[in-house]
Amino acid sequence: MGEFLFDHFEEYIGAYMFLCLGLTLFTGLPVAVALGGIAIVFSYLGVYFDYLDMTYLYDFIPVPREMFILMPRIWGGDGSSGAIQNPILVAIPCFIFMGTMLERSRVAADLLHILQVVLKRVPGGLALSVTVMGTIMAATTGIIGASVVMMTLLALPTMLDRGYSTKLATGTIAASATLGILIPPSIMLVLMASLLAVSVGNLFIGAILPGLLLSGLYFIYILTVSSFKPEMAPPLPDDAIQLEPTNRARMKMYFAIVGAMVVGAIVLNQTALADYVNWNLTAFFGIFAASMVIGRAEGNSLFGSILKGMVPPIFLIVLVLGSIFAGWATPTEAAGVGAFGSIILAFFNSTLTKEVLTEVCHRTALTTAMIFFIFVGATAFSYMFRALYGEDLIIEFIEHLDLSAWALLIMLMVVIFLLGFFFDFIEITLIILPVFAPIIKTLAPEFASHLGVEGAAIQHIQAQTIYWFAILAAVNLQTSFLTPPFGFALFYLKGVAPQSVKMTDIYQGIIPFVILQLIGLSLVIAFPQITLWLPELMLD
Amino acid sequence: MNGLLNLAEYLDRFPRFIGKCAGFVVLPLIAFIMFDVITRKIDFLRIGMSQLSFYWLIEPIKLQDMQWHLHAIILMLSFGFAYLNNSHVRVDIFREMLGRRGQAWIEFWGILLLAIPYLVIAIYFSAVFVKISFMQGEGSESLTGITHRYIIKSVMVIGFTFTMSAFLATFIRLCALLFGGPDQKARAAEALNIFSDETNRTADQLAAEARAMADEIKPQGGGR
Repeated sequence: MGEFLFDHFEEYIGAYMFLCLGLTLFTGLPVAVALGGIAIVFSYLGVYFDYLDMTYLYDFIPVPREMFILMPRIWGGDGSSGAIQNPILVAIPCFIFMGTMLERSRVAADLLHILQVVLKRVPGGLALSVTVMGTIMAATTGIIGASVVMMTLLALPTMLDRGYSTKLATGTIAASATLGILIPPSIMLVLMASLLAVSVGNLFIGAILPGLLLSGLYFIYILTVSSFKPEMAPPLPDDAIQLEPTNRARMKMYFAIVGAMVVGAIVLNQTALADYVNWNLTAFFGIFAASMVIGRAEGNSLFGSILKGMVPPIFLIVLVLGSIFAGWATPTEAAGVGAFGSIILAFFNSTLTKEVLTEVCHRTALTTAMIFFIFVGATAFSYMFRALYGEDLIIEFIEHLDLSAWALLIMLMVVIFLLGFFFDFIEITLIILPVFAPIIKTLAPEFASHLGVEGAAIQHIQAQTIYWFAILAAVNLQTSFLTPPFGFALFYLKGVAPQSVKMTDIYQGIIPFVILQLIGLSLVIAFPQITLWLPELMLD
Repeated sequence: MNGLLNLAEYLDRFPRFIGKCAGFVVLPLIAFIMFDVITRKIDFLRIGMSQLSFYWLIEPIKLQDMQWHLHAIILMLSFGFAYLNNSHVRVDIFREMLGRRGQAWIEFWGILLLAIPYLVIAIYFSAVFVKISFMQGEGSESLTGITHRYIIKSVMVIGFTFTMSAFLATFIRLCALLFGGPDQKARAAEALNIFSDETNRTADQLAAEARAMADEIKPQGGGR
């Protein structure tokens, strides 16, 4: 019996490692510590079962020899995906800073105001304006904690005052705010690109249409519900949003300035000075500054609201996404530029004080630490898992199941969706993707005809399959924020919502949106061109 | 026990201070990226810059190396701070069902069995990693990058050490909470920040709650 148990553990040590990790995670210890600690404990078990070699420090402290390779793994360099010497990941602190800073500048409030003005005649206008705001803010920030809190504080009290159903209101806010994780720039896509060794820019472009698809589905759903059930989203009374009359002289001045700058840029581009200064860019910044200053001066009129609400997001989107897609900047550089842009926006909205800057820096450090401590732990875990032949066990298991490529893909999607009920995107991305991406890669030829790349070189087919798979995982992981019991967005929402909002309302409100997301996911599975078309178009 | 709690306060102070400082490093990081982008994309600045006598100090390769050096500083030095702030991700579903005492026991064993071995090994082997780099005189992969790689690699040792000190501070406080007398329990409860119902609160609220909790724990406590 003892011998049988020994053999059993020896054979399935990788499986037990995974099982132990699962159990430890549910005790509520920090995920990063569970990952790292389990890796160390099992490396000693690995020595006991003769998988790893033992070496002695100072001749008496036994350690597995593999430990010497662990630190270079965590460090990175040489194109491997370590945590530290990895230029791609430098984008993450910058995007975190940008998102946190934007939360502090009044950009979101101004944007929501103008959207409410524009959409006030449409049924469900308040909810629709939240969805549109979520989509636009998603294109400027990469983190969701900040945007859920921000959007709940801004929009939920108004919606409840106007008699919206609590379920519809909370569902809309939670779902729209989490679009930030999918629509680029997104921290999750940066992490995925680093793990799968693919280009961040490509993943960003590929995620745009799926992101817009989801936001379109939300939009249609809200429109339908509020048309057929007006009691859930009552129309606004005419005097709900008061606007001051526009100052015509100031409007004329603004258009004169903008016109002058455009003409100036065109003219100066013809002169010899164009060799030295990029006049288009200068005019862009000039128009931005003029819009911000005049928008502030104009205040609460329609014209002022448009300038204050629309110009800052456009400015940031052009700065970050524009520079990546036009090939001017790497994603890392764009992240730095975007972070700088967010400081400028805060400056123009006069919210840039010493206290705000200090707090934003602290929050940046905390969020960066949260992501990277898990990254370090996951690196240790997956290294030891591989050294103990855990990956081979998984591959054997999948071969034993003898599934077709399609069945396997569907199974993986179901697994990721179910894991999303309990875990956060960081853990799933860092632990699951590196294990399953190689399997999907080997099955790539079976997807070739579906992706429309049959007959292409095998590398091309594999690359396209991996992009598609990464985006599928990304769309799927967005639900991990929304699915109870452990949906981050729901907790953030509950944390700042008025007392009258019950957790059960939030849980019920999110159901239709999770279903919409699954519809979106199946659409991307069925029509891979949603992901692959735009990158091909832009890169050719 | 009181002496140990004083020690915990010292152990707590350094990671907190260092983590806060590390947060500010993001500002120079942004500045370096902006400087790099501007000087590389605008022709006359790039040409003008290459004439400078100290161009070797600010050439693009060095700036790009500098970017991930700063990134390394931010992330390695903020781990301990984030733990003291309870910012690390936890899966709280089942933990919430336990009382504070149960959560304290879980954290106690977790630190003892998982965190401490992990961090000891991380500290030792990152020190070996730095030593190898120093012995080899490792420089940058590119010809003109930042030399003396061991300096930035030693951030790993420092970072893991501060993380260890944050975990030890928490461990001492947990011991006080679980095994100490009433006064020590109150003191430890006030300083601890690991429980499931404490995330996303401000410091003042936390302190008030901790005091209330210390009162609540006292009667059922009594040393073990």
